[in-house]
Amino acid sequence: MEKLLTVNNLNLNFNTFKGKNKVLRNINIDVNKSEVLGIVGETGCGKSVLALSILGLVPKPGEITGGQIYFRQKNLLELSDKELENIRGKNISLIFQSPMSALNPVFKVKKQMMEVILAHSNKSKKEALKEALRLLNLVRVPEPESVLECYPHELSGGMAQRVVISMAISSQPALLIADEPTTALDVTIEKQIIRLMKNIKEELETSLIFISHDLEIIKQIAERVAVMYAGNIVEIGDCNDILNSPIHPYTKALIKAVPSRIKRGQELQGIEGIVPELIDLPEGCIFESRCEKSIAKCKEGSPPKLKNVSENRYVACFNFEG
Amino acid sequence: MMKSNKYKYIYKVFLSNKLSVIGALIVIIFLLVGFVGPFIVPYSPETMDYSNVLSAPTFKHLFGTDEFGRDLMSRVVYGARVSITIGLIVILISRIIGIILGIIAGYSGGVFDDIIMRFVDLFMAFPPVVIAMVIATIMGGGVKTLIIALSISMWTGVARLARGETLSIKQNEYILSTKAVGGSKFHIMWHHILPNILPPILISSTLSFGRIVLSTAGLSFIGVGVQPPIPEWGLIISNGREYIVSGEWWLVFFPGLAIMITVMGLNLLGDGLRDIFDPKERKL
Repeated sequence: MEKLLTVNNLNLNFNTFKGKNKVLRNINIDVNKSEVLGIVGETGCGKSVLALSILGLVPKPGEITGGQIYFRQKNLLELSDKELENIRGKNISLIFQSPMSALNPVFKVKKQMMEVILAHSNKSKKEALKEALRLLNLVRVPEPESVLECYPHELSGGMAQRVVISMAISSQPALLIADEPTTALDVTIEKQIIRLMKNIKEELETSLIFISHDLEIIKQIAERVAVMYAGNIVEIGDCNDILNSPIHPYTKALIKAVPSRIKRGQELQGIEGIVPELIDLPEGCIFESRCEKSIAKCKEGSPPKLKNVSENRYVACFNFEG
Repeated sequence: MMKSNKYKYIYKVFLSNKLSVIGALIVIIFLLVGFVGPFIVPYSPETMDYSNVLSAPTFKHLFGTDEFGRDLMSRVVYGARVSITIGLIVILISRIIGIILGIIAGYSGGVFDDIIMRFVDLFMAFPPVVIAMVIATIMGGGVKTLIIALSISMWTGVARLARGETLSIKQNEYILSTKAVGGSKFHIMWHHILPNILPPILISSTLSFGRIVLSTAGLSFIGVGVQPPIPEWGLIISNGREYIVSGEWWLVFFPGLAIMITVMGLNLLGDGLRDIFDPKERKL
């Protein structure tokens, strides 16, 4: 399969007064053409930062200290700002968590959509307006004409997210990154948006990176899943394989903690302990302090690397090293 | 359908505050007087009449006449035009400089921010009167001097306001999402930040207008601003002050009243506008 995006040994620090916060460490992922890669992990594990670093939008004081991000054989980290601006929105688009704050409150939907369309094409204003209507129809917005005349605060959350999605796909990007696009929405709308994203992915043949902390959502949309913990990827594999037979102890614990798998009356299962500080990294495996299967090797030396355990399946755990 | 409601709402909020309505009325009258007043006053402000000097208010000369027999009412009415012209030009110059530098400082941060804001500190360290006197010494008094001096001392406040607003607006996700669809720095500053910071700038402009009217009068009074024979309120007061002791009160009273009412009207209007744009400050 053709690889669209390859992230190679990506390292990212946030330089704070306390020291270097090593938020991403040796991240390796790749996304194939027209595939949905899910990224799951708990809050603060670096999912969103990873998404932003692909677009070169890491906020200060974040700093990429090593690695490469190849998009169509071009290393995005070596491009100039101008070249990146051309790739953003045109080839890679990002959909944000809260649709209401992703739209500028002082402009009508029409102006914001046309701005994006005109930025990446040489259409006339009339054609852009037509295109905006077509896109709104594509994301199944009822009465697109009146939505265009609305200000963002006049839209519901689900409607606003549809508008945001339609803007993100306006130039048919090869890669769409959705950073928890349904977190701010209620459950019924969440279902609709996920179905919509699936359809769009089929229709436009884009690749999709879908970031979420919710395994249930990932299950509905992703083909492959990467599990992140404290700035590391601990396991990558096909979605079904990972959810049905997790290998890494963290993935196992995460799946056990999903509330819908627990019967009524049973106590909810959490993961003991807390995520360690990323400034003074402990030696060995980062998950060691919370791991049930910790062995002597986990407590010292360098952290485990992703190892191929079966076809398409990579795990970073000393327990499964040959 | 939403639109008419919105305007109705603004209308209602504005009308609910009696003081801001009074302020708006005063400002409208001030502007009317400034624009059409000079065409309807019966005397030219510069025609002298030595047979009728220092006349107390009569029906022929409602505000009385000055030491050259000039009609004081015509002079005060012309004074409104002078104040409006100077006010608008200073507002325009100081807003343009302040907004541009403020947005650049707030959005770029880092070295740009430091350089621009230290410049602001530098200019704020000198009171407007001192700046005006320095410039007056260099280029001589006059309207030009006044405009330059006031613009120099007024852009700093705007720059700080624009910078502060920019800092808070740039945190919003729609700025990040504009970047994510490929928006350039200039595009974001011009199309996304500028429209968002205009309401507070507008409010501050109304309030500054009042300050400019006051400063113009003040600086002209001490002689570094508008020069005679231009009928300017501060200048009229300055000329008339020697006659207070001999009982010719109208020479300082009417221009003084004009300054007071105008500045009050502008301030009340500014407060009313703030209520509309900033619901958090609204009195219930």
